[in-house]
Amino acid sequence: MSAIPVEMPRKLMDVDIDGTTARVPEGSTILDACRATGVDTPTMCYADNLTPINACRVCVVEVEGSRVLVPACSRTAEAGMKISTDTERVRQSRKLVMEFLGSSVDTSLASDDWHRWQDEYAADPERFGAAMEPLPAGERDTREPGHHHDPDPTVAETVEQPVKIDNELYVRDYGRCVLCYKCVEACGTDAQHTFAIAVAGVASTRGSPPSTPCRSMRAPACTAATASAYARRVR
Amino acid sequence: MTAEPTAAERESVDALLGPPGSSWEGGVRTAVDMRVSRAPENRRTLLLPALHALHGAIGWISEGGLNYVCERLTVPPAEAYGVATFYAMFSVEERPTTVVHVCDDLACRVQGGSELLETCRSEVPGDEAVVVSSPCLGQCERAPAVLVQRAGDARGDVVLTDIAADSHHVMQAVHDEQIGGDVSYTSTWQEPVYAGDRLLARASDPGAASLEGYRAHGGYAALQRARELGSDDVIRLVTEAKLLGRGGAAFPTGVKWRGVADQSVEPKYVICNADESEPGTFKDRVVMERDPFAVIEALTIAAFATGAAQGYLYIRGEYPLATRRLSDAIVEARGAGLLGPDAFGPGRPFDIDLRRGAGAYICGEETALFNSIEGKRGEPRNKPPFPVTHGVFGKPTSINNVETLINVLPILTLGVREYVSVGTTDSTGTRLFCLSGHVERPGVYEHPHGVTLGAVIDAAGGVPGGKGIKAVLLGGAAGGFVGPDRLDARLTFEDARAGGYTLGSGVVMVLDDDTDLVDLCLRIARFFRDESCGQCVPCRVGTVRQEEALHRLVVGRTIGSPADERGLLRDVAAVMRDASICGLGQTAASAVQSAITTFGLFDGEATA
Repeated sequence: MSAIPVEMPRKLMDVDIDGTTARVPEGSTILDACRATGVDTPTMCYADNLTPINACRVCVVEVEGSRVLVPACSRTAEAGMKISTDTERVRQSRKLVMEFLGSSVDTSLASDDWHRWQDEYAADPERFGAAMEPLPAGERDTREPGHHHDPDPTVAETVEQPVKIDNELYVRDYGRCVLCYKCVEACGTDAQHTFAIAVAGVASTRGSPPSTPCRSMRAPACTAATASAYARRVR
Repeated sequence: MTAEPTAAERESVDALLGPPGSSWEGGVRTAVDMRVSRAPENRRTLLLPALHALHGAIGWISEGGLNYVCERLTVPPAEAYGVATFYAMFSVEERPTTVVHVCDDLACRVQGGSELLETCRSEVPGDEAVVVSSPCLGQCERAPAVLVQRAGDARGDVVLTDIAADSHHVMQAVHDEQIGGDVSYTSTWQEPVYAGDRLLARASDPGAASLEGYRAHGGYAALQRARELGSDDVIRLVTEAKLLGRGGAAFPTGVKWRGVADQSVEPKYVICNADESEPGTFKDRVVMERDPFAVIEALTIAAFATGAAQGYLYIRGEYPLATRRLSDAIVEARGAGLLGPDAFGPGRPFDIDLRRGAGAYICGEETALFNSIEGKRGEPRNKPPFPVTHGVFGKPTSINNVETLINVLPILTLGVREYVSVGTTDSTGTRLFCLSGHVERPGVYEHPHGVTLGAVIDAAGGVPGGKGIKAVLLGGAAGGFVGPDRLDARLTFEDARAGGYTLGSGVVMVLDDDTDLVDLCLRIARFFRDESCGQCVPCRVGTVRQEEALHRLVVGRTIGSPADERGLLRDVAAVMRDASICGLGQTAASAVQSAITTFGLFDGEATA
């Protein structure tokens, strides 16, 4: 194996990012192009080694000709594309996404970058009111899709709930789950092909206000010895 | 994980899938299985039908039953669990075999739906049935409506409509096994109006639901004409007729068909999107119940034009009668050779698979619908890539709404010139409008594009009781409220665009002077919160924050002034519109915003 990844040479193309021309290989994403030109782009659900699922929407940019904002992490850049990363619309959307996550999930242990972005975009997660008290253990698990719970107008709902300890190897802290799908992707086609973790429920019922707990049918202790809960099941 | 299925569960799944071929898919282990690995091909697409079978058998999805389905279909249990918990009509906890879904959504709400829900909650014994509040059941012209979902021996769903605010009929449907087997009945002697010359021409004849009756009305002449013309000319005519999608997005159908036809990738698919779930919408249901062969013929023409050999008809789970009519019609069409291995001539197959949803508004979004058909959670995909190149199973797919498809029939039988002789230059032909709320004669009315809003309401007899119009909800919960000053608005795609309103799915819900708009806004906010799939942050959290802010305004516990809260709602609306993955999030704030700006809601003191 070579120390430098060897790829087929790719044609270069020009895209316009905030008025500056960036030259990137064909097949690059907008995020790749932003990074190549040194444009700082906030991300949350993105990871370099996983298929982008563009669920958090904090990396959105404006692309000329597009009615809505587009996720930089997953959209392939096209030659001649005109991209704006610092318009009022983009800044406002990113700020709100940070406020939504900050007000509903415990992001205190998120990366330094995340905290820096929150400051840069002046995100104020407290604007939706005081966070509600965490629900008792198991409460969210009994909620079913379609069963509505009227909100308490004095507080902002969160996904806070007690940590679930299944065994010494598998601990689930849904109060910190931003539903980035990274664990699902890694457990599935992006790495392990184990498919022991999936997202269950729908948005505001069985998960949370916001969230949905990921749940595995058999807690996968993700080591070589017990790699595949599913594979074991089907012999 | 080790839970085993009961005999009843095993039986229900085997009835759908046939007996297992080997122990590799859940059968008894034989000597051969010890030497030969015979994993079946991936049949995940049958997951939703299998879950329906399980649920129908015992009224919930047990771990053992789910495990058996997973073995039969080679689906990872965690993923299947994720799918089973996605749909509102399924439960993974044991519960009574009967579930009473009482609609307290917009149209039912203004006709006593909330009171009916309370009555049912207090009067239906909890050990016999669970009573749940339901989003719009698509029976708005006969509100209030109830769906009784029954499993086990008495399985079969019953729709009760236009019922008085007592639980008498509901209890009858719960107890009496004779009522049911998927029927709709209405207690009123007065039928709603289903009036139109083109798309609804056959709707008033009960005989049209049989192939013979359909043919007597000139049915299958369009397919005949299509086969004479050839696929290229069919697409050319649809393009020249300027047919635009009627599901809400107004995309040109000819462009879509051309796009799929031009793909060299095989196989290609055509899909009829009959997951009609937009609150206030019921036109597609009426067409499917009364004119099922029109839908099948039109989808067959779509397949002929685009080169597809397989079609899917995805219908929402809450439409038992339409489901039965369509499935009967498909069987009859197969018997007549109109579907099957030689549908387009010897060796040129086309067939339709009827798929039933299970309670998820989001599955009306085309890419979510693909995922649902594939046996995945009904979460929308990011676009691009578009369905024309990467649709269901990643293959070129043409997906059209029911009303859009049946427009193809008059285009072919009447010819383009005659077809475009009604409507306007850019909005050709007619349009189905769903009249509900406070109108004298609710129903589905077919009008040429360009008709004014006032004329549409007048045709339905206007507001009963001599009351005035406070507002009209146009286009559904994803549309917006307009005031009585807009009664002269022309209902065309171009006028709607210019005037800042939307025709959406043809909803015209009339609300009289006494209507509590704040209450409706709360219901809409709740609807989007409940129906958000939870995939992307703007919609998942935004719909919650929107509902919370409205509740704060209603009870007068605002953060800052009411004006501050209105600003917050605007911010939330903007990020949902701009940054959500799909149309659900992008429109989740539009009706609430339109009510606030048009009617000055929450302008002054707290309304409660």
